[in-house]
Amino acid sequence: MAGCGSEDADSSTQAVVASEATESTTSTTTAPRPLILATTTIWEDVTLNVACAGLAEVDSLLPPGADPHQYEPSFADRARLDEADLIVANGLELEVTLEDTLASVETDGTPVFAAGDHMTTLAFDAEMFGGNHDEDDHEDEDHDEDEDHDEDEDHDEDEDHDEDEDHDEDEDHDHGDVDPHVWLDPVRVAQAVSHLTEALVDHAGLDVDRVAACADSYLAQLAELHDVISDTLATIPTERRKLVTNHDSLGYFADRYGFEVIGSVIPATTTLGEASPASLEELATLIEATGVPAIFAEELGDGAGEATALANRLDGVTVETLYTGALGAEGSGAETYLDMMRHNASVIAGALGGS
Amino acid sequence: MEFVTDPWNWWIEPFISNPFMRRALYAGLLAVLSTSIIGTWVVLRGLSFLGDALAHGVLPGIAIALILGGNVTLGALVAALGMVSGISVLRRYSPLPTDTAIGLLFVGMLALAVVIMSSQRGAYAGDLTSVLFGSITGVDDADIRRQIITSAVSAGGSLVLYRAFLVLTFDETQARMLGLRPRLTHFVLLALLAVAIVSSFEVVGTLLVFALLIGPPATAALFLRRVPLIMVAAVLLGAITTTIGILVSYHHDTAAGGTMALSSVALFLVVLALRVLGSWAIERLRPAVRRTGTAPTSAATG
Repeated sequence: MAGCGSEDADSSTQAVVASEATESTTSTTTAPRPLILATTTIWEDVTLNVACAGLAEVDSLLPPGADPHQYEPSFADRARLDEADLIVANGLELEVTLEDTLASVETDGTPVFAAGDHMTTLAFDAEMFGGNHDEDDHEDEDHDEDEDHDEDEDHDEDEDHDEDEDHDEDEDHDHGDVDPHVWLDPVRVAQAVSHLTEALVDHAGLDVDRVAACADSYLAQLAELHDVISDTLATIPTERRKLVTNHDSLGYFADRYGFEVIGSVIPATTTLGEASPASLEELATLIEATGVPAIFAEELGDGAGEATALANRLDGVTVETLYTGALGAEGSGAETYLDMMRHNASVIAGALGGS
Repeated sequence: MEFVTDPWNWWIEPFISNPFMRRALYAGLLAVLSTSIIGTWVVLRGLSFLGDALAHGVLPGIAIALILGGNVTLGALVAALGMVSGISVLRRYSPLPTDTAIGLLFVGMLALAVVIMSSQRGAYAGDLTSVLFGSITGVDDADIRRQIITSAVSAGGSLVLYRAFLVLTFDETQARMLGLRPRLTHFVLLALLAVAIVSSFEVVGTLLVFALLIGPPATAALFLRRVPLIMVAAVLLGAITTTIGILVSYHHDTAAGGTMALSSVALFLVVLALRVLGSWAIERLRPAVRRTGTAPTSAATG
C-alpha cells in the first residue's frame, strides 16, 4: 500500500522542473522530509502539488481504489498517522470509519487539516431527489458569492480555527446532511488550497515562499481546469443539463457547472441504503420524461448493478463511468486530480450530447 | 517469525512506544472481560445464534438514534432489550423451536435498520458502517471509562447470578423447584448479554463483540469441563487473542477489528485441531486404553 502511494509521488515528481527535483533530493540527505498523509488519493495529489511535489513526503492512507466510506484502518495505519507531521482529510464525514481514529490522532498531537472546513458547503438537497428545481439561473450568482467568501474567510476563520475543530468533532453528527463530495468542484478545491498552504507551512514546516509559489501555480492550473471544464460542458444544450447518478456524489459539480441532479439510483450514501422499487420506478419515469440519455456511475464499489438494470430497461439510456471517489489506476487517464476532472467532464459532455 | 526471533520488538515494544496501542489493548481487554464471562453461559446454553442476533439487532436502535441525534449507546440498549423481550414473548407463545423466533427477530431487526436508513434520502448515514467495524484504532479515555462501568455491570452481574445461571443451564426443572424462576433468570441473562454487547460495540464493533463473545469461551470449553475454569480460561484466551490481533494488525497492516476477530476464531480452530490430534495420538499409542468423552490433557497445553 505504501509502495503504491510513493510510486504516485515519484511519478509526479518527475513532472516537476528538474532543478527543483534535484534540490529536494539533496535536502532529503541532510534532514528527513516531513511526512504528510492524506486520507484519499485525490487529496494526496492536491497536497503533493501544493507541496511542490517533493518538499514533503506525501502519501495516502487509503490504498488507491479503496472506498473512503468503508475503509477499516489497521494499527499500522494508526502508527503512520501518529508519525505524520500533518494529516489532510476531506472532512464533512466522508471518512466515517476513520472519524474516531482521526479525532484520537489529533488529541495525540498530529494536526488534522479537514479541507471541507475551508469552503462553502452544500446540504444534500432534499428536492434534488425526484423534485424539480425552479431556479435555473441561480448558478451565476453562486459563482460570485463563492469567490467573495473565499477572501472573507481568509481573515475571519483562521484565528479561531483551532478551537473550532475541537468542538466540531462532537457536533458533526448533527449536521450529517452536508454533502461531503466537495472535491468534484475545482473552485472549492481552490478555496481549500490557500488554507492548505498555511497548514503545510505551520505544521509541516515547509518553506513559506516555495510553497506559496507552488500553490499559486497550482491555483492557476485549477483555474485553467475550471475554464476547460466550463468550455467542455458549454457544448451541452441547456435542456440536456440534467444528471442522473448512481450515488448522490455530483452535487457540487452540478452546482458549479449549472446542472440539475434529477435523481440517483441509490438514495443514501450508506452500504445499508437500498433503492425501493417505488423510487426506482419514479426515477425511471423521470428519466423517460426528461429524456436523460445516461446514468453516471462511480468506478468505486460494485453498486452499479441497479443502474445497469435500470438503463437496460430504458431505451437509449447508457451507464457511463466517472472517477469520483479516488484517482484512476495507471493508464486510466485519471491518474491526477486535474486529469480525473477533465476525464469526467468529457465523459459527461459526450454522454449528454455535447461535442 | 519475528515474534520468535525478536520477541521484545514484536510483543512488547509497540505497546511501550505507542499510547494508542495501550488504549486499544485496554479497550480490547475490557471487552473480553465483559463478553467472555457472559459468553461462557451463551456457549454452554447453546445461545450463540441469539448472541449473533443481538449483536446485529442493535442496528435499528442505532439508526434511529443517529437520525434523531440521540445517544447511540442508549438507542442500541433499547433495541437490544426490546429484542430480548420479543424473543422471550415469542419463545413463550410460539410452538416452534426458539431459534426460529430468534431468526425471525434477527431478520426483522436488520430489515428495519435497512428501511430506516434508506428512508433518509440523501442524508449521509454511513455512520452505521463504523458501528459494524468499531474504531479500535481511535479509542480515547472516555471510551475506556465508559467500558469500565459497563464491563463491571455485565461481568459482575454474571458472577453474582452464577448459581442461578448454573442451575438454569444444566437443569431447568430443578431451577423451577428451587424457586429460581427460570423465565426471569433467562431474561436477566439476556439483559446482561445486551449490556455486554452494547458496552463494547462502539469501540470494537459488533463483529468483534460477537467474536469475543463466542470464540474464547468455545475454545476454553474444548478442554475444560468446570464452568468457573472455563470462565477464567475464556478471559485469558480472549486476552491472548486480542493482544495477538492488535499486534498482527500493527506489524502486518491488516484491518484492526477484522484481524482481532479472526485471531479469536483462529485460536479456536488451532485448539480444536490439537484436541483432535491429541486424542488420535493417544488412541494410536495406547490402543488398549480407549479414552472417550473428556478432552485429553495434551490439548490443554496447546
